[in-house]
Amino acid sequence: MLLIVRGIIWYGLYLFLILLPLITAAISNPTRAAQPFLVEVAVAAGFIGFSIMSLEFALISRINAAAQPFGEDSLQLFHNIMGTTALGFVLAHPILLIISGYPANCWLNPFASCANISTITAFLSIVVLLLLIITSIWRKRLGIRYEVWYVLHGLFALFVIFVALVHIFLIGRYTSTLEMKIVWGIYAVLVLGLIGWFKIFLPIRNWNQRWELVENRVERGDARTLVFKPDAHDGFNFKPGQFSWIKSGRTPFGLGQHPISMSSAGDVEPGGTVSFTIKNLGDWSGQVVPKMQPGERAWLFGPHGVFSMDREQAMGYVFIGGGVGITPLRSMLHTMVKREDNRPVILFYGANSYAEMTFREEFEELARANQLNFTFVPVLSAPEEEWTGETGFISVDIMQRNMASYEKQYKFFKYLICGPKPLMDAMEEALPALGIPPENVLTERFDMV
Amino acid sequence: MHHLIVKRFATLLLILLIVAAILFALVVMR
Repeated sequence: MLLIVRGIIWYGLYLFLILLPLITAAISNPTRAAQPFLVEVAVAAGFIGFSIMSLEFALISRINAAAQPFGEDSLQLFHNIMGTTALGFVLAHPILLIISGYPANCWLNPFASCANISTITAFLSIVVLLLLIITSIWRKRLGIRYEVWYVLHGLFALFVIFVALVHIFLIGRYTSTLEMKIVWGIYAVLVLGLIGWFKIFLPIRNWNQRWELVENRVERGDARTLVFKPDAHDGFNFKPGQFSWIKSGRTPFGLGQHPISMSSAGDVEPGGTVSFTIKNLGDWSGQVVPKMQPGERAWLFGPHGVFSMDREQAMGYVFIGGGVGITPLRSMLHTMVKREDNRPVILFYGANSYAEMTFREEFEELARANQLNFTFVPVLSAPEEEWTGETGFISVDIMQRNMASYEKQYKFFKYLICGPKPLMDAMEEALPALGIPPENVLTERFDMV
Repeated sequence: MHHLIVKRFATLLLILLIVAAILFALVVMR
């Protein structure tokens, strides 16, 4: 089936599931006292907030059929946006009720004499949901380690859903009919089922997918390349640009899975090795990766992602990479070499200095060797004194200057961008200025978690 | 671009959900 049709079906299913409590409540029409308009809107906002929160688990559960049309990075971004949207609906619920005349004191102060279990559960779920969103948006600024945050995030989410469900049942206005009880039951089963799928079923299914580290190589720019070979299985093939979740340690269970792009070529033969290049960012990448020894085992869950030239056929490509965002682009270049693909490809690669430019020797060699129809444009923001190449950040001027020989074709090329947020933002302005239509641009957020 | 498309989808969804909340209130008040 066409990916776009599958995308529409999944989007429709998602919308339907969010609206399921509202539709059922409207149809089953439980007996209750008539309420003012704003109160009913508040009820709807609460239900919608609850449904979105429950479905947040589905967006990140790596259900392949759902991830394929969109890409896991897009689903992750959607998960982030919908989390904030859920908070908006959940906050609208008490605000609208208080505007309608509900006593704010009883709902906002759990120690007030008029407070009871239903007001306290409402208060708790909102406070914890606020904490959940704040620690997610500002995790790095608050100095919370990824692994700690990951545990907190899951616990907060489960707590909020459980307490909100208790609140809904204690209020009881929309739980009196059998249909509504079934709907809330479906949500409880859905959440628990997804957690079971993700935390228990997937690791068990992948228990035999162990890989052995065969090399841990130091690269320029404080990065390391880990080379893995499959341990008693065929391994996997992947499209250049895709990523896998790496889980080091003794079992595939537990915390600490890291999404890392493959940096080696795709079109892997059965039993072939795959490589990942990881920059030291201080956490797992700085503390665990440098200590990993050849012979150690790890689990690779993948391949995932839709950031690949294989999904975007074109007469030529422009790769734009910043920092360690170069890794999926390197995978694509090596795959092109393997395939003897001689379509034009231009790589704009932004880094601080020449010394810190990961893989620069390889790219220079590729440009010299004429194996590919390849132009390499390094752009340095803090160049060494003797540097004579492009300086500053990748810009319209730099791109125009270096694509002059493709003046008539470059608008038809596909643009694949991977790098830090400032590079993405700069390209969002630069590419339309060059007349590149949005459908010719594919981006990868490598800081997706 | 991919993330712009995601944001547009999310915005469309937000509008649909707000409309749904209002419709719900109108229907159950009948």
